[in-house]
Amino acid sequence: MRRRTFLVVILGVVALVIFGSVVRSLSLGPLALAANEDVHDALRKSLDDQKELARTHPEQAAAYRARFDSLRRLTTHLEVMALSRLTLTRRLELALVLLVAAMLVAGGVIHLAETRARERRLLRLQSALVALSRGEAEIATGERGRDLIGRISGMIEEAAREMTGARRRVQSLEHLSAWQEAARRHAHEIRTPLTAAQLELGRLTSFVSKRLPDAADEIRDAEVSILEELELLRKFTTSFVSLAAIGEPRLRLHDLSVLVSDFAASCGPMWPRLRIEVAQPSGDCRAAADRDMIRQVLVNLCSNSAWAAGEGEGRLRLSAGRHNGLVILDVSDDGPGLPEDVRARLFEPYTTTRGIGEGMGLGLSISKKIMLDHGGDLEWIDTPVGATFRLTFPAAAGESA
Amino acid sequence: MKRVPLAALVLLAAAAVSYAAPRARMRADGEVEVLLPETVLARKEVARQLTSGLTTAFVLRVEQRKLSGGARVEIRYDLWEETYLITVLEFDGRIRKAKVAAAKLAEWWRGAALRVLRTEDPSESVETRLQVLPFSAREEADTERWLSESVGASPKKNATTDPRSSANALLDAIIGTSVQRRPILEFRWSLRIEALP
Repeated sequence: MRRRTFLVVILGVVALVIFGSVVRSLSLGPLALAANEDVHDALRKSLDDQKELARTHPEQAAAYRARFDSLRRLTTHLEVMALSRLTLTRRLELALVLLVAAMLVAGGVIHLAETRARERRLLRLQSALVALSRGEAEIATGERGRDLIGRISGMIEEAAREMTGARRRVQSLEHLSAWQEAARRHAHEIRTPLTAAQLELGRLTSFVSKRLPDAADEIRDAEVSILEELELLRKFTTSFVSLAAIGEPRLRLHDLSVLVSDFAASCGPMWPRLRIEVAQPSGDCRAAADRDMIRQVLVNLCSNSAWAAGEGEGRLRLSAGRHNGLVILDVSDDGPGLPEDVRARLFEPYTTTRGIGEGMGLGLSISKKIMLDHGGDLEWIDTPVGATFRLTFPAAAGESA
Repeated sequence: MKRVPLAALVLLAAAAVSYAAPRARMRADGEVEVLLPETVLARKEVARQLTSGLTTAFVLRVEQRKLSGGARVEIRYDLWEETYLITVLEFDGRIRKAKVAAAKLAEWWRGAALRVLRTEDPSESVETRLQVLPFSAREEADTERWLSESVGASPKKNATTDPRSSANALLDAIIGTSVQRRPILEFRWSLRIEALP
């Protein structure tokens, strides 16, 4: 729109310059001469002079005649000009009026077109706002202008994306909270009888051993076997508790690129077959985070990558950067990636690709919960090779701790 | 005492009016000829034009029912010779030329019978219109060319993208529509055709 207005202004200026040039050419030149009576008088006198000179000097009559004819032609032109001067002036006025009228019409047409286009854009904006109020996830206004409407459209699209993300995070949080509550109840329900069973087993063993001293060894073996099973049950319960007992993060400002480097240096040796690389950070990576919790998330992710690498060597890359007001940590490995049937419920508790007894499938759920509690998120990014998990944090402008 | 001079003035005015109108005469061969009044030449606009050196054209158009005709008289004062160069073009395309001394122009004018029409109905009057044009078509064209050259118009070919050429084109258009022959005077008469004695 601005480009069109600018074009009209430029064309108007060019037209006025052209018109000014025309007026200048005419008014400063022949028209001025034609309007000047003194010029006419001088020419008439010159004509008379040539005639007089020809009479006085008949030997040069031809030259005077030639000069006379030349002057007469000029006189004729100026006489014709003088007679046409009024028309010429009117034509110039008409040209000016037409020029101004054309500019006004062009301006009006452009204004009308701009108004209509703006109306259409505002309607699109209105539709986008309605869609936003309905909570639609994907809003595309089609506006890419850099003017106010374009910027507002961009804000609406951004708001829709933010709201969708926030809604998704809230849903995940509610989902995981429900799982936490269930885990807490299960742990409580199991732990109480488990403790009672352990106590009763001790009493039973003592009682029976006194009555049957000959079977004391067998009774002790049975007791050990039962205690081992009860220990397994206790461990299972403890893992339940680990999901239920995720505390609130104690947020402090950290440079997450430093946190990642420290983690790689201190925890890297935990996975000897995993070669951990830390990429050069891009941008200011300061964000509010609970250092221990984030380390726990990173441990979970690295453990998964190490498990996925199996007996072979694996490579893991940690990168930190800032984008659109977020600090992003990417954890990428070059393993086999995730099976498709797991991807949709990846962050649900007890989702695992490991065999029975090799893991509870709570690591990613706990990590997701930690990240959501940070006001960020943990997402799986579809990449052609391996698996990539992205940790996002709201970027902070404060000083790092 | 006062009524006599008043009546004389009225009579004189009536005579002047009747003298100011041209006369249309029917010739034996059926052609109508018109004698223009000397008062046309006496008008100050015409008198000024006649001494300007430009060609003054008197364009006479006549109509009688469905018949139409006319004649044209072009008079240019030759400033060197101090004579009038006269060209008469009549309704049948016949051209007459004359060179008349300045003092004799009125006399020539009085006797210049312009053949304008051939008719078979002398009883019907003819509608006459006389326009006085201040210069000729040739002078108009010459002046347009001179003006274009003087102000730098007449753009060169392949220079249409140059704003100056646009200005020249506009200038040419203005000159072309402005330097035009427009009548400085116009007369209309309804003439009764007289029989030529």
